[in-house]
Amino acid sequence: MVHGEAWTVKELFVYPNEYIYWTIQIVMYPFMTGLVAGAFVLSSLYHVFGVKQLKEIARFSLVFSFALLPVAMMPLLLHLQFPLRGIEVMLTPHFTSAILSPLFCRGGPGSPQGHAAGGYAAGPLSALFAPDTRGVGYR
Amino acid sequence: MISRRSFCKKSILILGGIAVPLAALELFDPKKLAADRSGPSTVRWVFLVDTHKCVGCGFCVKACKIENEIPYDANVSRTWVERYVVTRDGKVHIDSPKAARDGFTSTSIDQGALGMLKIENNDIDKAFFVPKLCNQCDNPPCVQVCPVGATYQTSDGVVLVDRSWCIGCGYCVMACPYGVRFFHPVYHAAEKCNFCYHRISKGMKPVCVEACPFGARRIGNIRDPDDPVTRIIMTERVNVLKEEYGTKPQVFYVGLTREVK
Repeated sequence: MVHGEAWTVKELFVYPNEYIYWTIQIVMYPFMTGLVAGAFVLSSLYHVFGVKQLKEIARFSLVFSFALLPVAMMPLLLHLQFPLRGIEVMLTPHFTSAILSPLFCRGGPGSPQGHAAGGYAAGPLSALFAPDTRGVGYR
Repeated sequence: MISRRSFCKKSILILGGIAVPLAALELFDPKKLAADRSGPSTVRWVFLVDTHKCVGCGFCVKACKIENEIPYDANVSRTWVERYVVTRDGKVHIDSPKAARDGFTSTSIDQGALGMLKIENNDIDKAFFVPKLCNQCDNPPCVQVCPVGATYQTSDGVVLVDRSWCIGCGYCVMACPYGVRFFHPVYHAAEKCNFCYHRISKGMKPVCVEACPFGARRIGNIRDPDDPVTRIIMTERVNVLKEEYGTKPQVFYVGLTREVK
């Protein structure tokens, strides 16, 4: 069975190869990351910045944050066809990819710089690291 | 007597030395750098599709599926043929049942889950077939977005996928404006048409070119001015798909109309 066949509504797509691969897992990842970050901020407000009103929640939110931290990455990993190769994104990064843009190149289609440069421009660092890749900057 | 300080220093040094992979040292291999800097390739593969000649028999799709080991009954294919039927009320009906693997056996339009649409012969203004395959773009968005660099462009212009490197994130599938990419149902890695790279690199023609009984599909080298395909591209009225995306596609079509998407 083709990956994506189980949930793609074929009333909308009649061509071959038209399957939806990015589904609920992609949405779960930022949601859970947001929970981790939010809980951590809440707890640090008490522990570091001394907001006394948050005494009751501080300890729980710290435990909650650290408990969810290793799990937050799981939906993103499990949506891969090869979850065990997921670490390659860090080990052999390709710097023109917008997945890496918040980390390295700051020029993906999602970032303001990328939009200013016409949507698909590669960042300055990406040109340094991947000179053989033909982005818009190549021309 | 070894002191704690020197023991720590040495162990960090040894661990660091082990941690540096041999692949990182290869970056500084001067021979490889020199080879990479050698002049541009003398070959740039392009494809020419004559839509006037295509009759929608689907031999190309059948041959491609067998040659490239794409599961025969799965609704994914490296190449496919689309049928365009423009009716008198201005509507454009497009279908490609099973990627046109068995040709177009019915005059009805296959709308997938919505069933078959019967169109009266008198209502048809024009109808034609458009074979589709990877455009091997000069500015390939799929190569740009791959987070690990598992897909790359060779010096002769063909975009390839490394099946042993692909992590299966689907970003390239989403990025391709032509819908050419999919996940291989068996190998689970991203899959695409590569002009039968295993054949053209040995001097043979892609299998769809061999299978086409009407010569609607041709492959050529745009860097060779004497190539018949290059001559047609240079002298006749050819068009490409979705030029507005800026991908610089390298599959040229004779007889493309504005209905073709």
